[in-house]
Amino acid sequence: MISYAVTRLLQAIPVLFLTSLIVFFFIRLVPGDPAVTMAGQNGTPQQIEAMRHRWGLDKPMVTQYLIWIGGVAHGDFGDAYGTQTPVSTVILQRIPATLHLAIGTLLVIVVFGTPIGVFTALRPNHPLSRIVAFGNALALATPTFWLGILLILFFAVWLRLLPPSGYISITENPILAIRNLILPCVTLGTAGAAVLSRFLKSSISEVLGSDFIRTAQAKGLRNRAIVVRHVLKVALLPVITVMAIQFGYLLGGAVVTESIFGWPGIGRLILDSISNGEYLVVQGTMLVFVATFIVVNVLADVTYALLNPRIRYRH
Amino acid sequence: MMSTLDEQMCERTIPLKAGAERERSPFARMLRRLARDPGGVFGLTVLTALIVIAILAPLIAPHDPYELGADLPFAQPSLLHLFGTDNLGRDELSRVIFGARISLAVSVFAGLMALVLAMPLGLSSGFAGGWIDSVVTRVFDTIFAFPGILLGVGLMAVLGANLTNVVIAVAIINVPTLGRLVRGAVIAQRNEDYVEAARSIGATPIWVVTRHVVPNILPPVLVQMTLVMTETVLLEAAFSFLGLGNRPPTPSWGTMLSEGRNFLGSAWWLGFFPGVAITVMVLGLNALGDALRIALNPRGA
Repeated sequence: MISYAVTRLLQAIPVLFLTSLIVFFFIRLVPGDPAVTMAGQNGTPQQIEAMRHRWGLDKPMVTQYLIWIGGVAHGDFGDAYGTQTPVSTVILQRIPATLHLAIGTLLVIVVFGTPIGVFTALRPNHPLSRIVAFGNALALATPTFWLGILLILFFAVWLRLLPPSGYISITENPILAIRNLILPCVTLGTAGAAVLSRFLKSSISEVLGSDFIRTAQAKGLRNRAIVVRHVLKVALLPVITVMAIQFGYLLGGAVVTESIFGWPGIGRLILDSISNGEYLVVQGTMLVFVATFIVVNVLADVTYALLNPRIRYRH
Repeated sequence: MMSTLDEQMCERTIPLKAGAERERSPFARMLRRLARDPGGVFGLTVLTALIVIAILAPLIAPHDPYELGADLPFAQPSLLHLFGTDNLGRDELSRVIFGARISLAVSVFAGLMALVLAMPLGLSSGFAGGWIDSVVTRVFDTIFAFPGILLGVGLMAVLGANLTNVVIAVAIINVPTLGRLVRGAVIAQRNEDYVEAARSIGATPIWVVTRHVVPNILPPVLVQMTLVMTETVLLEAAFSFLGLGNRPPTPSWGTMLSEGRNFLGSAWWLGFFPGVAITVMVLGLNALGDALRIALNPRGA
């Protein structure tokens, strides 16, 4: 099992390497010269040249890449041009806000998606199940940012129940923090909840039709016991994979959601850094994003394998 | 050449419904099945309506979408302006109608471009295998490792914010999804008897792939194309919303929402109607995709 996890992580290395190459050369194609920006509006050519030299931007591209990737291997992502603070610090400062958003969103997905999925699978002909099917289709067709706008309009502008934007850390003031979290997390989590409930429904229905469930019914087990002990145990397995995929969407969706709700997280950091020509911040953040995504996927695969005997014994 | 596809389809359907469906082309058969599915009818209706609206926009729109001060700014929805007016007094309904042009054009062009890029990559990697397959798969994995929006934001920053570049960025984002599907479908077909038969009479690999394999993998590709177009509509709107795509004053649904969000307190309609338009379009495309999947795979999922 450990060797399986290690193999999967090793396979991720070429992807990460390619990612670093793409990110590095890509950001240098963006119009604009950071040295000119740093020297300021009245910067003389000498000052611009000095800036270029100071940050190693006058070296050949390949040398710049090797210096950067060598640092990354040691955990040094370089310094941000503007504030001259280490990029790792800049990223770390933004992580708590995005983490709040990510955990809250996963909660929304699980808390809404699971019961709805289980219910619609067990009672496919119930009128509520038809409403849910329509609701899911609607949730998947609604753009994230429009859902955000609608929620702000309804709950912040009209009802004045919740704040329209802003982030407060949960350690600072738990109640205010949660009030601020509700709208962004529901915005980001609605589509995910729909995906999860659809997936659970088909996964449970499939298990319900299998032979061992008929056996359980034949030996006189009560329905509740069958569902809890047999069906859910098997049907919940694929949920892990779905959640891992959702995590990827969540990272991307965070860029838009953070922009609507004025959320000081990683997504906003990337948007701002691209427009400010902060090469090293963009490179570092993108790499962290992709690495996180890969690690989450490997973790999901390993958990899946651990819980699924058919795969567990093969390794 | 269509005979290969025809025979395949007949082999599937005729034993079940002896001779019930004997139209000449698979396309006509597909349309007939779609027409029997409520989701298919809904999807086709939405798509047709959108195409008509987009083409006839200047004739349908009650006002000029660029005309400043067609009425007072922030006029509430009324009989004169069904969707109200925006902060510059432009008629919102007319702007939504003209916005259909952008959403439709971007999704069609980006979808086609993704297909043109993904087909050769997926076909060659699936059919040839070996190092070509390894390289192509790695490249797909890498593009796939970036969350779509993020990749798009990066691409738009490099290419510059305009609609042509939105098409390019959105196409690139969708290449791995489509390419992987093509690759998988080709691998499933690679060992079929008809491929071996064609090869045994001396057909070159390129001939086998283009003449025999491609017609057989078209159904799943067609279904996936509707999903790609859905994704495209949502991405275009998101880019325009973030100010990376369409530029004002051209009306795009994403741009309109982005402007409307600043006036939520005074003019809710500006943050509402363009979103309805996007959602209806995506709902229609999704319904069409689901119905196509069923219509093209009569043996059921």
